[in-house]
Amino acid sequence: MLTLELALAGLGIGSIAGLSGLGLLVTYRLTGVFNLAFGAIAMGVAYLLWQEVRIWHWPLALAALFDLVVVCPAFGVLIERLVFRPLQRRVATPAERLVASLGVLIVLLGAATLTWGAQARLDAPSLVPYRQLRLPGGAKLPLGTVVGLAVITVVVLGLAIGRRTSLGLQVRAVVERRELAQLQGLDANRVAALGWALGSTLAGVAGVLMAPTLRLQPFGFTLVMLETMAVVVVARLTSPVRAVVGGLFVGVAQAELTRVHLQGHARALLEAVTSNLFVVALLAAVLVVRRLDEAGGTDAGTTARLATRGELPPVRGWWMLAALALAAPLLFGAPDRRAALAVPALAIVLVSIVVVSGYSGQISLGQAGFAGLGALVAARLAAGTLPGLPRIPGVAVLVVAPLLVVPVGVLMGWPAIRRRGLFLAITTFALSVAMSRFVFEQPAATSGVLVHPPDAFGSDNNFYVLELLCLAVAFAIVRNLHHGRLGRALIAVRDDEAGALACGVDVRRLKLFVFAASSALAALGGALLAMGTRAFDPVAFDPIRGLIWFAAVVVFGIDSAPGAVIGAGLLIALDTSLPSGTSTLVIGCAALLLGRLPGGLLHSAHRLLERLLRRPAPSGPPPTPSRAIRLTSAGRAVARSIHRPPAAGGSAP
Amino acid sequence: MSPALEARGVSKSYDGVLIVDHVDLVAEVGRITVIIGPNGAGKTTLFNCLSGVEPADAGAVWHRGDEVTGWSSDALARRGLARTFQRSSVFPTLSVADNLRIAAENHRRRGILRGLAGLPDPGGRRAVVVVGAVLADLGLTDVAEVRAGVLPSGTLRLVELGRALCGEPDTLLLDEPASGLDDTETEEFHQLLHRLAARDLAVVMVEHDLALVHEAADVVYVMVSGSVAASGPPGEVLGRIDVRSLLFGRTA
Ligand SMILES: Nc1ncnc2c1ncn2[C@@H]1O[C@H](COP(=O)(O)OP(=O)(O)OP(=O)(O)O)[C@@H](O)[C@H]1O
Ligand SMILES: [Mg+2]
Repeated sequence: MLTLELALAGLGIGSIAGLSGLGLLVTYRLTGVFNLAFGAIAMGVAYLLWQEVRIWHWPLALAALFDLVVVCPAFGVLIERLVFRPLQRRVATPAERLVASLGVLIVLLGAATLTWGAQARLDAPSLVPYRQLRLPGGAKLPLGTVVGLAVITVVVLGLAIGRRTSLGLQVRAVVERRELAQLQGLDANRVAALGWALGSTLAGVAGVLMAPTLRLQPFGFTLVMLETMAVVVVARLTSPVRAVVGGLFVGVAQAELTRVHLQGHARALLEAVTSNLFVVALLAAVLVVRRLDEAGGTDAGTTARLATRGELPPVRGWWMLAALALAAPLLFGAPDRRAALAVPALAIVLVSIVVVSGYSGQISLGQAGFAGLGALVAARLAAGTLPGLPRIPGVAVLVVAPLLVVPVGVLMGWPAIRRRGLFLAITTFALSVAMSRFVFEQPAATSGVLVHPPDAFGSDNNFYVLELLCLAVAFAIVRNLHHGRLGRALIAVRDDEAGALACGVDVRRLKLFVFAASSALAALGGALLAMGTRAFDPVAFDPIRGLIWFAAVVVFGIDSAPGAVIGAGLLIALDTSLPSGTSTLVIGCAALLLGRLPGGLLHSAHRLLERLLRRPAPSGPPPTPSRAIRLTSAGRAVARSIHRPPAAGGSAP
Repeated sequence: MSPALEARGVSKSYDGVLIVDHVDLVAEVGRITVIIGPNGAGKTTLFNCLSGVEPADAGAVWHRGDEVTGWSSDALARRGLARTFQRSSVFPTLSVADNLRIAAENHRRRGILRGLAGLPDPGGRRAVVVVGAVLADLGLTDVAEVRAGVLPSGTLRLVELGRALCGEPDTLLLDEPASGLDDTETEEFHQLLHRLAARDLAVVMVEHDLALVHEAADVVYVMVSGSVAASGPPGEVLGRIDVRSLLFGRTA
């Protein structure tokens, strides 16, 4: 009977995962956007309910009704209207939409951190009173689980029935071929608004149900919710039933595993696996599933549209200004200089994102994992506690540690050979979550780890100079990754993979290489970051922090290494001078404004400057009209038939 | 001498639908081989199977006498089998010259670490020379430094052709190379085709313009619903069967 009881207990968490998966799926199928923000929406609603009930003393039922029936749908409609509809109008690429949903996620995180602080709250109100229902046969089922299962049933049935109605048919028409549906007079925007409203409501329900079982905390709670995206990968982004079954299965398995008892190391491992079973499921799913059923095909998976597109000539001499700015902290007072130690380190991490995502177009949301690994490996190498390796003295650690991380980077690059766009983004994120949960948070890996700067660089001044040297080396390497034969080949992979292959570029090898190079850079940055604070803090390498870093890089120009340095400086400056959460909020808002800042902040400022100075346009003939018109795929089909020579077009029946 | 490209029994299906059905094809050096057929006949899919973009389900492909079945498209490109795409695949953020240069530079494999260390590329000189020659040949010298993303589609066709030529290929697969060209450009393109064939290149192209086929082709393949309905010299093929109704009539 014990097994059945555990299974029933596991259904609770399983049904919540199923719910959030359903929300993700509904939004994705109706809007074509993979709503990364769902985790933060769940977190935000859970906090809101807490605020209403615990602080304002609203009646629980009223507060929940207000949040789930008014706030959630309204928020969904609002972000559709303000964020995603403009993107739709511009026929944005999947990468641009992903960044927008990342922007929403980050804005919510920043706002939550500013409002409620980073400390954990343990008293989230429980929407469903804790009561056990007695089933025939004596087994007990918590009421909350019943409610979760009921909501799931209603939603799945609703979707199944909805598909068959004429409205459902219209919705599907819009989803399949948005442009054509619009020609038929179907309102695609209404369908999208519906998708967002439904998706955020389901996320909200999942968040409210999840909150009492967890600590309420902006980053932590959001990450747990994000881990449930395992079920939509299992469902290959299509089947709601598979998502629900997947969620329930993992939930039940998690409960059943608590029955297994082992000893020693195996026990610690089992405990880690059990408490992070959704991460295991996510990792297994991204590695096993061959292809996601992505809306609108996967042809535009890369970040080319986010890049500066070589529109303007490079600014000469920018590095002199940068060198001056970077040297300034040497004159700062002690506390400020201590804070500034993080700038070059973070800059190197951000540059690693520029390399992989900006230069070669491969979305990588997992750089925080490499940074953390670099920090950990460096610390253990310096202490001589890395199994199988001798103690590495002094600065040599900064060379050896990144090299040791390279194999992990190659491993991460492996899935990237076949995956692009959204699937690659999810895969890299999953790997970084796994590293965080199974390495950074495991006492066996991190306890007793002492982090020091290398011997001769103990003083803040000396260490800062060392960091600047590392940054300079990183820049020298990065330069070769953006110029010359190698740089051109990487841009070719980013701009058009099929075209690059047709040119003889060995894309497989190049992708592995670029992941390896960028993981080494991230590891170097991470090692410096930890040495600067003299501690290994898993929170510093949280996967969600990695998402914020990625967004920051996009905001400052995804293919701009100087932008990454400025971004790092700004992030650290905001973090040290303003309440925590401000920098997150700023990055999130900027990510949402990217539509107005093509190519990122720096590039836009540069363009503005060029316009103000009225320099002549870059050389070459004036741009042709074809540039102003961006055809939809329907329009392209029409254009193609017009361009056909008369012999073909004219004689068609 | 073995043909530049030979395919036997190449088949491909998507979702259980046979799109390319046991196609045999031979492309000789110095000849222009043209594939015609209605929309959806499977011409592009056949090209994808020949150039390694998609693996064929069945059949075999030989390039200059060596079997290359199942080779990846980049390896085939380095072997000398170049292709263009029906939907432009130029690199929009790079200049025209750089677009071509990528093909010229990657036509042999070279060490990545060398590039990382910033050492000069041993073949770089030659690549620049090849690019210059091709640019001049195609009349693209004026736009060499313009970003490809801002150019009109007719010019992009030429850029893509130039890119294919920069890999110093012996076999060229061109998917509707003349679509999007205006009248003068089409005329220039004809001349170019003949110049290419005279250079001992095997040209295989998909084309809809029957006038061009008559004028330029040495061999014509008519593809309908995935299989080759007829093949031979253009005079015979186009004269004997009612190609027009085959292509655009009820059978399509
Ligand atoms: N990746 C794919 N998955 C599923 N079906 C495909 C795929 N690629 C092509 N098809 C189908 O194969 C058929 C043949 O397509 P193909 O592009 O080869 O025709 P084509 O002869 O080149 O036509 P066109 O003259 O329009 O270029 C079409 O019906 C198309 O829908
Ligand atoms: Mg075609």
